[in-house]
Amino acid sequence: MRRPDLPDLERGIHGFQSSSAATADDAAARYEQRIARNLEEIVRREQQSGSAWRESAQARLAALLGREGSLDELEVELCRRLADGAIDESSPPLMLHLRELAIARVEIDSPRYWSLQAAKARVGR
Amino acid sequence: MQPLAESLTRQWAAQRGERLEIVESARLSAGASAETTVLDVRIDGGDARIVLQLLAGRQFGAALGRRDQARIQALAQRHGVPTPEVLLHLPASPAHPEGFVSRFHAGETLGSRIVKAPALAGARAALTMQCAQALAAIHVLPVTQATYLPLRRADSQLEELTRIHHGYGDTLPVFELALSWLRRHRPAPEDPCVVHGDFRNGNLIVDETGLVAVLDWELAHLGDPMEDLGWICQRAWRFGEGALPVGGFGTREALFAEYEHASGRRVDRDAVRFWEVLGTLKWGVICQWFGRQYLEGEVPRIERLAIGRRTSEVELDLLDLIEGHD
Repeated sequence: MRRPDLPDLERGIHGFQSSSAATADDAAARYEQRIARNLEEIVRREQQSGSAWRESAQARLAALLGREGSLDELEVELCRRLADGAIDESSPPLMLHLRELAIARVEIDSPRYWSLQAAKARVGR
Repeated sequence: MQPLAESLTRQWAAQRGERLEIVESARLSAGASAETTVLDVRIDGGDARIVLQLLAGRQFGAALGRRDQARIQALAQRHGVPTPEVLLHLPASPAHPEGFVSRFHAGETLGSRIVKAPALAGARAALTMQCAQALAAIHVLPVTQATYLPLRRADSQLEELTRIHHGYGDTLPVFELALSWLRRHRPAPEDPCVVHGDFRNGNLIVDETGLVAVLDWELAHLGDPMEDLGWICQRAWRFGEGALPVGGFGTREALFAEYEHASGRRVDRDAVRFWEVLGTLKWGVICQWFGRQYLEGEVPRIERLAIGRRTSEVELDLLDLIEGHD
């Protein structure tokens, strides 16, 4: 689980659109309208991103942990092993997995984030 | 404004023995934890400009009350740290929350303008040195006169972040990796000194000559001076100028060299790196906190929801830091 998730964003946008700030014309309302448009873009990118990146993350993680499960279940297990110290940054497959997943998420959440290009170059993209 | 103005005038007479008249007021910002108003006033007939800050909303973590914030700011100012002189503590009343008044200083505070405005090119050339000097001056403030500040060492901060992050129940393996890395890289505890706690681009007043004043002392505490050096280098405060780690305007080498010269204290690079990772993770947990404020109906502004999605940027940054990239 990681929140705010897609339904959280959709609810937030919907709630904003039915508020008075959605149509007001002062500086504070215009700022919120811009934020709402950004959130709509995040929703659109997440919907269009498809399932491929989740499936490859799940496959990488299953190989890393040596067990099957949904992406959520495998991430919970990974957190447990990280907290135990059973795995850490000395594992190249772990770091590659985490970086690929973080890149996929930043491409949805903030594709113009200034360090994204350098991060992609580090995994040969 | 009327009940607030009356309260301010009354307190001014009681605490300073002067007659205050408010000529004009302009609200500057409604931040997450403070509401700031600039007041044009007459004090015993003479014109002056002052700044009133009222407590508003909740601050992440252990923030000081306005009285202690005013006390540490006043101590710093008396010892030559560039920061606005504190003029008055305003106790809470039914008409308004607690606040304090300080002297107004003209200049730019917006981080994005400080790193880009052509008019501030000269300021940017001087700013890293000036920040190093201000930090050195803060870190030698007499601890015996700041015993009201909480002691917040690496251990207790790490424990607090772990507790808050786990309390949200989000599954974020990169945050878990960062917590594990931090537990394995804790610096040895040093004698505590006064730490500003939020010394960064965005909390500085800057004009064409460079640093005018250091603001926002509400996270001041006793602890490791390297914490402030790590915090100002965080990626979140570079405003797109990624190649200049110090606030988007300077290099670590320049900051550290001037800090060592001004303070006579050696910079422990490993400890700074620890605090940089901890600070980055702290920003990530603050993003979670903002998101929850919206989701739990505490602050119904969608800006909070949007910030809640910025944990992914923090994940990317934490991986870079843990792998030793700048």
